[in-house]
Amino acid sequence: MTCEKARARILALDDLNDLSGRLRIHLDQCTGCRHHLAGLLKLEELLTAMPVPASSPGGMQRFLDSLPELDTTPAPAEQPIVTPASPTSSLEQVSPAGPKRTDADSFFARPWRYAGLAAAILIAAGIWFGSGTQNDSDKDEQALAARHQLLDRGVGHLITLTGAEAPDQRFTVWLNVAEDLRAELRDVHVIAPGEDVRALGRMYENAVTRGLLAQANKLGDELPADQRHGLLLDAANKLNETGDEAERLASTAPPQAKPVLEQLARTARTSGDSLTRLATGEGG
Amino acid sequence: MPRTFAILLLAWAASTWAAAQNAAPRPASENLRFLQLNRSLLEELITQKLRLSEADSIIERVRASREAAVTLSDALSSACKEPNPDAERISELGDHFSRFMQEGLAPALVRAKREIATDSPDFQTLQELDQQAKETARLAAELIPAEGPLADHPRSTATRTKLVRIHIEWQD
Repeated sequence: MTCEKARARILALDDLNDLSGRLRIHLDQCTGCRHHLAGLLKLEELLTAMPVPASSPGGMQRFLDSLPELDTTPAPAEQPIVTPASPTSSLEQVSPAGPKRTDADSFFARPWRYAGLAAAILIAAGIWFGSGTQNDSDKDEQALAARHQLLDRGVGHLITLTGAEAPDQRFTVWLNVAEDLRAELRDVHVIAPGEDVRALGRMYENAVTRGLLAQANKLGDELPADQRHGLLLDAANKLNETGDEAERLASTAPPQAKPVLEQLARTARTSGDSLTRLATGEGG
Repeated sequence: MPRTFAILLLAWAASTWAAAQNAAPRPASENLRFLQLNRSLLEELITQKLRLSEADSIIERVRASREAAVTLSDALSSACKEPNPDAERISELGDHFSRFMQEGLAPALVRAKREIATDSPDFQTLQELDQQAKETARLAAELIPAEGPLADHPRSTATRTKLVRIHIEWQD
């Protein structure tokens, strides 16, 4: 059972102390969910301890008096609207029963109204089909999608680093950080003012030289040789790709972004070369 | 008649296209707006990541994690103190803080408590860091006011509830 499912089941419980077998097994093994349950129990305890304010005398009557009077007068019966029949109407031949026709008859008597109705249905169907049916969960997802992906991923990397004890785990995190920064720079470099582009350039430089390369030098014997080799070469390839891309972007970039991209290309290439040398055992 | 069908088909295609724009990639201008809002925080988080990455002991990792939590809490605090606070942004930053406390700092502290013996010289430091983390959670729970414009917004209210819950969890 995942933590997400366990917490959802906890929330669905009528009695927080009534834990089922699988849920209890999960809680025995998961400190985070135990904390979660403890928090809920504490919250329940606090809520239970809160005093319920006493009602004031005559409060109910004042509330009832404040409600608007219900109108119990029956509505007048609707009268059918009589429209004179057209002698040339084709509907008259289908239903010759009488000259009186209702609104519905006269609506469908006009062929162009079929077209209008069909158009309205088609447009509504198009919008429904295109956007899908939205529920609260969709709205939440949209709200989350409207957030800054770089920050979201950055916090994710931060969390991973809190538990990353081995250099290879940290190395992978830094490679991902560098790739995210590369993507952000690629996206905004044309329209971003100099200070924003420079900030992204600085972050990339730090991520690669102080993060990625520092961890690459710590990759030791605890990692199998082929795994270490693959890890380093894969990262070197990505850095070389970044170098190529940054150089290409720099050739058409606006003046404020050009020097940043050129520097980024140099950093990526130099670091890529260092990683390749480490992978092939030539030192770094 | 063919013209009518062509018009109807065109209307359907146009409405489908218009509705599908929700799923279109975010324009660069929108990303730039986010970048400008979060630039300082992003740079600060890179520094925190470097500290975490350079930490060579469990106690140093807990210390760096606690500092990272303070960085996120400070960002949330600044957003709450804006003259016209943006409830969506507050919700976003509150979620990041909550997530980090639950998935980053809490497990790091649990590991440290398991690994550091009570007679270790690091034990006293660990207890101090634990207290500081609880204080960070307490202060964050008080950042979003229960009254005023933020109290009327469902997202910031939900975030406030989440922060209060985390504060309660951390007191255990």
